[in-house]
Amino acid sequence: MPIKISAALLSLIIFAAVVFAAFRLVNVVTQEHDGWDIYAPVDVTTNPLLVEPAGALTTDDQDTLNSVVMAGRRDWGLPWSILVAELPGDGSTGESAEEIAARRMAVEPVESSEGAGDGLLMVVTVPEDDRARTDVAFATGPNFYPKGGISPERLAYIADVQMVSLIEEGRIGDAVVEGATWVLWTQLFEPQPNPAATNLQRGLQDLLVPLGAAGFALLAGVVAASAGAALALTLRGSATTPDPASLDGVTAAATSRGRVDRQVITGVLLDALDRGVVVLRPDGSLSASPTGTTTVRDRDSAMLEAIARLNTGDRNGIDAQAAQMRHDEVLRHFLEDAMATGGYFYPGSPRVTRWLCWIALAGIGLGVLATVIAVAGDSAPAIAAALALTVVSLVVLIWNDRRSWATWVGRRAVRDWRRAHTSADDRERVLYEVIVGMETIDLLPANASPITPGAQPLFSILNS
Amino acid sequence: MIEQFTPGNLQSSWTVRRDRARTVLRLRPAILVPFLLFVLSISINMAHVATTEFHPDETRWINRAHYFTDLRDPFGPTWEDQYITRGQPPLGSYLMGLGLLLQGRDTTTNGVWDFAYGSEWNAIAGAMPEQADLEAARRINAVVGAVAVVVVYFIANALAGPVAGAAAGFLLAIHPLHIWIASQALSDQLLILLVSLTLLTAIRLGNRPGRGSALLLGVLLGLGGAAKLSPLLLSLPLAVYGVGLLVLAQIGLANGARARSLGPLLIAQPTIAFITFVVAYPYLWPDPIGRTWQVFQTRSQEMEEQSAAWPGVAIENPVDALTRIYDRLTWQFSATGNLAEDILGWFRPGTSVWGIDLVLAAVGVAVLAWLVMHRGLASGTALMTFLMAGQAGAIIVGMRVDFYRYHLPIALVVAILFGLGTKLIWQWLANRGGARIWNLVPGIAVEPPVAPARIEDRNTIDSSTGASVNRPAQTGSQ
Repeated sequence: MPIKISAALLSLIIFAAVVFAAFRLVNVVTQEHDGWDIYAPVDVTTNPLLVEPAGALTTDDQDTLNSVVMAGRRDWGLPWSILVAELPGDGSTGESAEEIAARRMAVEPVESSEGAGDGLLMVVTVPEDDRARTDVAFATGPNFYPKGGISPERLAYIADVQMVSLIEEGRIGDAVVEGATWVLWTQLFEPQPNPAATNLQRGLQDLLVPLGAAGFALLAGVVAASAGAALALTLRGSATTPDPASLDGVTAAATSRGRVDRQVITGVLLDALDRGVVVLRPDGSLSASPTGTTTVRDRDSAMLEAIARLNTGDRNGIDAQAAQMRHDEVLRHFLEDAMATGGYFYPGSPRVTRWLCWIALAGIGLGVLATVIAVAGDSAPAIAAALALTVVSLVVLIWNDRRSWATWVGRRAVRDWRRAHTSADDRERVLYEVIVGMETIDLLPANASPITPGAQPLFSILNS
Repeated sequence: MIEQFTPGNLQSSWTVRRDRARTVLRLRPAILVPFLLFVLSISINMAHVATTEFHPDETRWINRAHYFTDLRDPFGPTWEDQYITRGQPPLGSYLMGLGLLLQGRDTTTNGVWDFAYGSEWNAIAGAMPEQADLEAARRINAVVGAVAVVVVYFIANALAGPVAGAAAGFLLAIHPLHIWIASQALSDQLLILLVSLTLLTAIRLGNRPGRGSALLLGVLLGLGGAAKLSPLLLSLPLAVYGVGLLVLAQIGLANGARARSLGPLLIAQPTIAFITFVVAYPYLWPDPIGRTWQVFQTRSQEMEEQSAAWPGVAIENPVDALTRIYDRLTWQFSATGNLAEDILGWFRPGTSVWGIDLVLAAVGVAVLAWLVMHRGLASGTALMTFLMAGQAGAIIVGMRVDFYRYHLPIALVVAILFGLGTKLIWQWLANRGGARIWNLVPGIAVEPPVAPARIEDRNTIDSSTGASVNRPAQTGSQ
């Protein structure tokens, strides 16, 4: 399949992806937002702080705690309250902090709205006779989690470890402030625990690990191996050994470039013009030389036939003619066949290039699909393998489009030819350099260009 | 009549560069100069690692070093939708993690620094990194900064030759802001490394349009976005540039062949960059577009809050930003000013000198504009200029707070332009009184202009080949 059709397919896929992305972006941008989504302010059904009796904490401690709780509600979207209750006795009898928290949460739930069930209640019980036995417990609504980094284990850590030293010192107010601060810090800075896997994710994970991941990796290997095989076949070439006498500037340049591309065809035309085989007529069109005294090579004959095929009713200026000739498949195939016959190109290159293109495209398609499935299944090994498949296939597709068709013996022949043609007077070497460096000749300053200033306009036209 | 081709000028253009058979392994300035710049930069950076003032921001980057090892679990708790993960893209954290592992440390480091509390509280809370972790993280940045200096050399060299490259690399290596940030554990050095690699790739892409270079450019923009967001946005105006090239080529204002090969490659940049950005950031995988939007929103909101929290350094508009940049890079962070003060300080301590970094950079702007006009809008020079202007513009327009590290990409741009300005002055000086007097080091010197060769004979038939061969009667001074 010609490369331009594969490029069209790729463009279609990219276009579809871009359209989908554009719709999604519009949807996201026009959605109403209230501050940071994960931290929108909340109103809560209960008071931020309850102290029973009122004198259980100092006024300063109560003011500080009110600020902390309100900051959590306003800045971090945490619907919570704190209850500090002084209990008679030494705390060895009566309800525990945990029981009190559960009872209070059931009777008067802490939540952002009625029925939401998304709040947190922190209860601190302070025995009147033994303040060192102060107990801390947390109760959450059924819809509280996930809430940032907060988890039951981390709340227990706050209660059992982080508040303990201040409680033992009898600094109850400071301990409650410390605990409340750690609750906010935990919500903000601890990583959020993963939610439980859904049935779909579990099913996909069973499928993807290890079979799916291994399969994707194997496909990536197949694509890479196909590219390697193409390279090996090309380098091995056919049984034909290049004849050094047949090697000229155009053939050497085509071998160096690895393809009969637009630069090589332009070079063939330049060579024919320079030797007088083709002339530029007064009307700006190309034609065979009327004198017929210049030696005409096979390549020149093919060039002349290509000129003859130019649409006579549409014989525009030289720039249009040159452009048409660069797209002349008959001329290109003739030149490629000549390169293959001479042993410079691998004869099966077009077929191998087509096959490899299809393999790479299939790899890209499968890789993208595999990536989507792996993301849906939350499977890291499968994602790695799917990405490898996609990237390897993409690289092979790009490489295949430009890879050299030159054989190993052909490259060696050109290397030897270059060593033998180093003189600045060597016309064939000049032509070789023009073709090989054609993309950047126009960037060279005039005194370093292989094209004379007088020939520059014509060269620019032919190279446009 | 059609002019014949002449081989007369090829001696310098292809015999040395292209003929690999004659390449001799020797110490060439093209390798020596960047190597020396690297050694200079890394020496300076490393010397400051132990002495540069601590900044609390460093603790955040060291804390997130575990992102690198957590890539093994891309659906784990690290990548859930939460403040820390949304607040900064991950590439700088990956670099921290990788660097710590390479230096024998692990990625379990300090806790998260809470800026609502002071140093003492955070130290008690475990947010202060160990000294060994801090220095290891700083050494990573020292290396990255030195590599950025080398890349800057290659950028300026590609634009205007080795003199420009050496000047640009040297300025950045001794730039006080660059040294300061390269000896701290932040992610800004990674940003300028990626930006400079992007600029270099743009030059290559513009000069030789190809899918490989286009893919690399998009990947670098995406990685830049994964480091600091802003480079990702540069892919959008690049696509517009590609469309513009095609339109200009239609009306004859740009090279047609080059525009047609380059334009589509630029149009594809946003897609490549965005895909790279998403692939590098597991947090985005469940909802690439929605979560990307959230990341940008969060960043924008944080900038506004910083501006409100520090009114003394708040920036009101781009003009204010330009004024701040001028002040910072002329008085506080000027390479030439610091260098002059150090030298003059031997004779008269406490001398204050006005730095000329921005002056020479302004000259460099004119040089760059001339190069763009001369080489065309479809050249690598024009593409690089567009990208560089876009990056600088994004910073100037988007800056809401005058934090010192936000000026580092501007310092990068100043260094490149400084190199161009220096080259112009060097050339001007060299053209007066003979070029040889300025040929101090091979490869960093002014080459005398080469007279073009002329054809005297035309179409001498070579009877052995049957082809007509050019035979120049006179060649230039080769």
